[in-house]
Amino acid sequence: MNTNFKREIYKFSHENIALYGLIVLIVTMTYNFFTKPITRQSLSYGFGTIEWIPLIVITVASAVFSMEYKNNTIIMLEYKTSSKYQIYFAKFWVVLIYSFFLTVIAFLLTLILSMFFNAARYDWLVNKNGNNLLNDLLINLAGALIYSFFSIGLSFMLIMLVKNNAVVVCFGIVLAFFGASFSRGLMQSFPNFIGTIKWNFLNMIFISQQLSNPSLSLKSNLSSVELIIANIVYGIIFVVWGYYLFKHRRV
Amino acid sequence: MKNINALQLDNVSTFVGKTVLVKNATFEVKPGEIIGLIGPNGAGKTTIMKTILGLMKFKGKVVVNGREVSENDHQALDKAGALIEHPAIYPFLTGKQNLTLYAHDQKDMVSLISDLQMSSYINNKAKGYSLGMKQKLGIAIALLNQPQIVILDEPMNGLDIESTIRVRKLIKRYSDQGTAFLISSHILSELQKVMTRVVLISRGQIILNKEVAEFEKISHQKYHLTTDNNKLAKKIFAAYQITFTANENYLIVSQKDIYKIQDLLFKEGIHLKEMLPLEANLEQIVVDILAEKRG
Ligand SMILES: Nc1ncnc2c1ncn2[C@@H]1O[C@H](COP(=O)(O)OP(=O)(O)OP(=O)(O)O)[C@@H](O)[C@H]1O
Ligand SMILES: [Mg+2]
Repeated sequence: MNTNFKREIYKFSHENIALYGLIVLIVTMTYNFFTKPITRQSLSYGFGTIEWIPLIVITVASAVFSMEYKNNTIIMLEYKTSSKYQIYFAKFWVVLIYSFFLTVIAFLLTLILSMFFNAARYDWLVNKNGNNLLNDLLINLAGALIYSFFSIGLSFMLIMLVKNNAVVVCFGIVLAFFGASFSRGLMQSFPNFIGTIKWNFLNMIFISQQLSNPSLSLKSNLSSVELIIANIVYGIIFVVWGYYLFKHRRV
Repeated sequence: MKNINALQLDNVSTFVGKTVLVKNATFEVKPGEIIGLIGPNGAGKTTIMKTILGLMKFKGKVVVNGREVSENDHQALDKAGALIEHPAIYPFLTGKQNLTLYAHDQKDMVSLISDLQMSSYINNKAKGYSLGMKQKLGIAIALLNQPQIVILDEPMNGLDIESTIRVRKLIKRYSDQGTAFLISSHILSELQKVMTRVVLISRGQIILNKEVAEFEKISHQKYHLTTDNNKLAKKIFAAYQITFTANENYLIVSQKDIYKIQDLLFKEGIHLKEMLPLEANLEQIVVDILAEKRG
């Protein structure tokens, strides 16, 4: 295994931020479970987890980079490695793996929490519109994972651009809570330009709900396939752009 | 292998955008040499160090242990250690974990921990370390893996007296084994005890590159003397046109006049209580050179 990657894993596993992210996920899911009415939909969204995972990922991704600058360790990292590519993508993979890990935890916790609930009402394997609930949950989580990829790219690009952790996190929060409605507002205000506006990056957040609920494409104006492709393309653009900025940034 | 320079700079100019931070720097460091890189704030010391580590955009040639360093090729730095400005430490790791991240050899790491007397806290998280504790850890990281060249930017920053002495001894020991050092510091008297050569930089340009021994030679041309009657001695020197500077307790004279002075004092019945070659006062020399440059 690449030394950079090993070091990143080692550092990440000792950093509190990874643990805090996990705690936030568990707390919000549990909170939603106990305080909000439980519906088939809330189950398929893993008790809000699909909104929280990308937000946690944005925060963690920007912290993973900014802490190197804060601790002056970026100097060691860069002079000991010839390729900035390795530094950058070692971090990228670590955060991506972390997103995957969060998604798995969210899946398991959804199942566990639902056991406390009157399970008879929503059987996980009973079909509705050709989809069973388990499938819906898995599809939504897959959507959240793709959106996490998008979010990591966005976060890496932003932290290289604005160099300020807090700004990136705020941006992430705004995106997570107002992104979709802002995007819809834009499309409603300029109906003639929907064909273009529908591709704006705020619209990408629909991926975490629409995949299990195709009727949402009426709001997003994108088909599920279009959403998946657009998310990945955006993700790649952000990651590459972030890399370009990193490559030209001097310590 | 012996005659390969640990470090060589050929006409190195460093840029940020179009601004030139370091201009045409040329100097070399032989294995085992300890170079004191000195100069006023903002002179470009840190910049030169970063350039050597391949972290800056530059023109010219930087060669470390016979291999060229470029922005995209840091292979030559495999056997280089560095501490630039602030120690590079992960606060969420213990001191030992910070070292382990880079250490190739457990034994080497353990001996550094004991040499720098860090054993009592090395297993605590680094976020609880004091300034000096962090600094020592940073120095230990720079000295890991038997480097051939070590670059230390203000290494004595925040160290107490005992630690300073330990670091100095460690630097000497490594240099005896062939490790070359490039050390910047503002506390010249501190550096003077270890360095073998001085490179003076001002406004991005190297204005002096001299062996410490040469400084001492210059200074040794002056003598510091006390007699049982300084007042009379001064009168006599004046009468015989011997140049001297004096204060209440002693006189400073040139080496060339020593014999004449001894004769005169003997004739006049003045007893010479003490006569010693003057210690090199690097600080004063540097201040003089810089003042001269500024014109
Ligand atoms: N990234 C940068 N962009 C623009 N100017 C810079 C940059 N880094 C350093 N400088 C300038 O280059 C000059 C040299 O800075 P440097 O940090 O090398 O000085 P120094 O000799 O290490 O000073 P000190 O003794 O204060 O540490 C300064 O005038 C500084 O303002
Ligand atoms: Mg400096």
